[in-house]
Amino acid sequence: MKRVLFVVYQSPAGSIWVNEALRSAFGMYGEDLEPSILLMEDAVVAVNKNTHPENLGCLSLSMSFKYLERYGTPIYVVKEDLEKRKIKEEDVEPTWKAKIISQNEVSEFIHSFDRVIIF
Amino acid sequence: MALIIIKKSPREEISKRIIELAVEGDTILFVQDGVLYAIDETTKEFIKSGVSVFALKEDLEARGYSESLSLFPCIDYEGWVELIEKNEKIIS
Repeated sequence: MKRVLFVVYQSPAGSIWVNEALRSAFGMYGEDLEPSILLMEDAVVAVNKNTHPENLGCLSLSMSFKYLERYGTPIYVVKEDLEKRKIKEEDVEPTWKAKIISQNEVSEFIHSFDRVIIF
Repeated sequence: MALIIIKKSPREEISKRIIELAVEGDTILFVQDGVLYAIDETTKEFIKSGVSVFALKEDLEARGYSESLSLFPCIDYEGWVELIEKNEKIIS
């Protein structure tokens, strides 16, 4: 089974890419693929429980939660990017079950996947 | 051993962060606005040793730069396909 990582770096408030990564990942479960998602830079605001892109007319993040819970898609978030955006661990929406990794682990982490797609 | 394809210009911080993830044995290919790294002297400062670097000739020329201005060897589309075939992993 091939392991695929989607890397998203743009904010969910103003871009579609966090939701697109989730949609692409969920679509892979019918194939012989194992998807994961890594949030970096502005995309990390997605895991903040107070983030509501739907207030701006963008897609809501919570619309994907039932699938996240069903499939258990692993979501990784870069610690330094969270800190830079003042997001504390207690601010993280628990439904994401986000695994927090350090910037210095990212290179080895990315190289552990067969394919990495940066949105 | 991974092929890392950089499409975004140096103005986008994410592209530099991805370049810095390359390790010995990896290959970086600059395409689209990423070719602007190929004409920037500072690029060499953050590429690790043992990493091979190429730029896509067509994308350099489309932006008004000749191959001779590139600090790294240039390849064409066929060369790009060869790199994809040669590398076990793709980061793009």
